[in-house]
Amino acid sequence: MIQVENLKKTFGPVKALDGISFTIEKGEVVGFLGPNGAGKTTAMRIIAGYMSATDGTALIEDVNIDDEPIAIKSKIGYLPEQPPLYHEMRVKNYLSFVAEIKGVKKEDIDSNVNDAMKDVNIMDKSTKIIGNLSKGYKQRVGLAGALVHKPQILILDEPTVGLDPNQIREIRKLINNLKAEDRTIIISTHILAEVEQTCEKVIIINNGKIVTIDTKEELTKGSANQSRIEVEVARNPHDAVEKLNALEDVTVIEQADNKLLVSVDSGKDLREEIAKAVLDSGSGLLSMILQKIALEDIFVELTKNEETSEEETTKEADDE
Amino acid sequence: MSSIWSIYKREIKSYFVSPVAYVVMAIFFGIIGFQFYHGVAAYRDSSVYEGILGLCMFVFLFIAPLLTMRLIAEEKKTGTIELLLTSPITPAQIILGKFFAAMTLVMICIIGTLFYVVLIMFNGSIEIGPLFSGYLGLVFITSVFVSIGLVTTSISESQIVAGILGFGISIIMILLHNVAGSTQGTLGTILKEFMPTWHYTDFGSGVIDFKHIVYFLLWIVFSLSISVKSLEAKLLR
Repeated sequence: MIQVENLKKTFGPVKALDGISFTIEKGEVVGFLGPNGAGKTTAMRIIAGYMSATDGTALIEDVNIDDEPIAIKSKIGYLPEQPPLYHEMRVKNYLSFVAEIKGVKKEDIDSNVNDAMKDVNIMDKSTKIIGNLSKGYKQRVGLAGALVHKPQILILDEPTVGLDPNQIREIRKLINNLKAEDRTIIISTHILAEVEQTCEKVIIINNGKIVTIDTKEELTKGSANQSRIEVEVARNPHDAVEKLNALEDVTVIEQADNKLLVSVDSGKDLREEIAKAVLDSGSGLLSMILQKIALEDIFVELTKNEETSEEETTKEADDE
Repeated sequence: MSSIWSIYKREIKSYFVSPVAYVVMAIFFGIIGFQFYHGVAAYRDSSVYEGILGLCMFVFLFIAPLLTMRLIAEEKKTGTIELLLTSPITPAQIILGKFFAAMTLVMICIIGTLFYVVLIMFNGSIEIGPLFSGYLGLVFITSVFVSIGLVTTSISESQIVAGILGFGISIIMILLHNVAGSTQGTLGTILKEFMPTWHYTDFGSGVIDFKHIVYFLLWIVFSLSISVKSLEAKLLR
């Protein structure tokens, strides 16, 4: 179990983390989402023991990492954003070295290294020099390094950066396999499809603060009373926009040529009313498509709101 | 202990994969071989050897930064320091593994010079006493140079900066060594007491003084502690 309480980190005048708190239960797969520079990497580095917090605590299985760093670090597999690779080493030698410093018993090193290579599908590259591998393979060697001591907790900072779609799919499969082994996994990313397909819980972070923590289902359910409909008209889109905006709970949020994106806030199915309004406007209804609100929209909305409120705060401060 | 061994093994392999080890050995044996050739032309006794050991010390003053500049600074640059510092090993184990690796290369160079001793033994005469103390002193003083090199690489983000810093310290040491030699009175004594190179001179002339050994050990422990603290500071930043 990972318990983070009021974690703060400042770099000079910059607040990288501004009091974040969350709990991750054993066996949970959590997506750490946020725009670039939101504080994801800083939070992960603190949990992995690479950095200490300015204030607050990070407890791993009820133990503060600052109190027992060696014991805690042996339980964590950490893949930083830039895979920590020795480019002059061969893949197998590198993984054996990582296994050694992670405290794997001498007799288990070979089997652990082979398992890790199998997991990330790099068996055929075991004798290759790391510096000569492609970016995707380097990323996988880094991931194998994080897995080699079979840690109970995995912290992966942008694990799929630089991978092609097939490799991304393999990594997702691997994460799902690890999930089945009851390991706790934290994945930071700004690729939302990744979170949608692998994580159960989502922590959205922006400007060093947690914007929301919820299960993926709850997050998307929270937006269930909101739906979007893409409407295509034959002519005079402005007339249609006018009629649609006049409807209760309906707003046209985007317009590109003859295509309109209509948002319905009440949760009711207003397709019939919308169709009628478009027809009444004389714009000519060509098509109507109901869109599912994805995690991406929630993410954009939450982080955008945060940015706006941040701007407002700055503005207020400036005014004062 | 096994973690120090792991770091040590990796570092040794890394020296021999890159040209560093070969360049360092070529420079060292080139200079020492040249000196030996010229010394032997004049004398065939222990006096050749006093000159060679003294020269070894000054050559190591410049070789030590070459050997150490990469050790920590490169890990910081490539991000592998993140792997080391998130592993269940302590900064002290990392520093010791790297210190012993650099010292192994130094020892290979030092042991290589025994070839000249054998040559003199067979073709002339050599006193074993001063030879032994000279070598012992050389091992101590090179350990001091390597530990100072570790400080420069621990506090630098790039190996170039670490190297320049190391060479700068070496040049200052030579200057201070000469100043200490030509300065009379209290200042001269203080400088001589402070300079590792002056503490070495007794070893060269066959004297093994416990005071000098303690002095060298203090330098080594002090420098390695600063390197460890610098790594710990990275964790605490």
